[in-house]
Amino acid sequence: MTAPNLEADLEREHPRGFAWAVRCCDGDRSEAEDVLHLAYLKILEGRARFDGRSAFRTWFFGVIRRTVLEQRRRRWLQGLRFGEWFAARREDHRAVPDPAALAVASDTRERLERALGRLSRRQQEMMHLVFYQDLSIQEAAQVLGMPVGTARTHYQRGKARLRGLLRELEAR
Amino acid sequence: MSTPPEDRELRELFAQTRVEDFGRTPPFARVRRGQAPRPLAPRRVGLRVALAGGVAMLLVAVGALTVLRGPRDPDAEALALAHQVSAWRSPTDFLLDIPGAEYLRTIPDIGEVPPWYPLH
Repeated sequence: MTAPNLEADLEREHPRGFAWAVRCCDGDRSEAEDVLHLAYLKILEGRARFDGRSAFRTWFFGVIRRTVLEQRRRRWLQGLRFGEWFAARREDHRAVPDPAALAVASDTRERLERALGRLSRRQQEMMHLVFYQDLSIQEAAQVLGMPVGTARTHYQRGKARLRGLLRELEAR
Repeated sequence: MSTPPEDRELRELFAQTRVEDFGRTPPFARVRRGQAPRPLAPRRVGLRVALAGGVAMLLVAVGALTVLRGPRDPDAEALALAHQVSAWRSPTDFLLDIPGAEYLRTIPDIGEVPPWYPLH
């Protein structure tokens, strides 16, 4: 794939890629933007190559996920060196909702986010990949780097739990 | 592949949020260039510098104190400690004093008979 084609493909997948990055970064849009930038650099500089063995989107999501994990590892090591863990805990992004996101949040979104927040991380990722990104369970398994059987289990359990939680929240 | 009916509701919910999300995705060009706004960055740098400075000052102070105090003499320290221990008095010591205790600390003189005593 040539560089202009690659850039055009990335631009086409950009909104979906950003949404996936936000999910991987626990809702932190600023961190998601940084991660996506690093993923773009990796791809455009040839450090991550698309070999055509899967769909472009699946591969791209895998690159984003790996970049998030690398960044977390790097931050953790930096935290060890500088004692930043203390500051990081104070600035726990998971606990602080994004004001911009809150401003436009609809009831539907709020309900969905609250229900998703009570699922395990794996289940959240599966729900996002299958229902939000319209990937198949096999593709989601490729993105998450897990066997299809395991992915199916996360999918079934996550879906059942999510449905129950949504019903519970609606009844309140 | 057709969507099972029980999944349709979930798909619709996610589709609604997707429409909202796509409307406020940061532009591709900005993300590509890595120009995300970072309001917290200067504060983090400041915090790191302050932490590093604090640790350095503490190390210098500890080093200076160690040099100024010089080597310790273990015998002198033990002697000072022994003085302290022996000089110590309990605050309830007075409870052990009994009336007339001063007579017990003197020896009576029995060698002389006073002139007014009738046995002379």
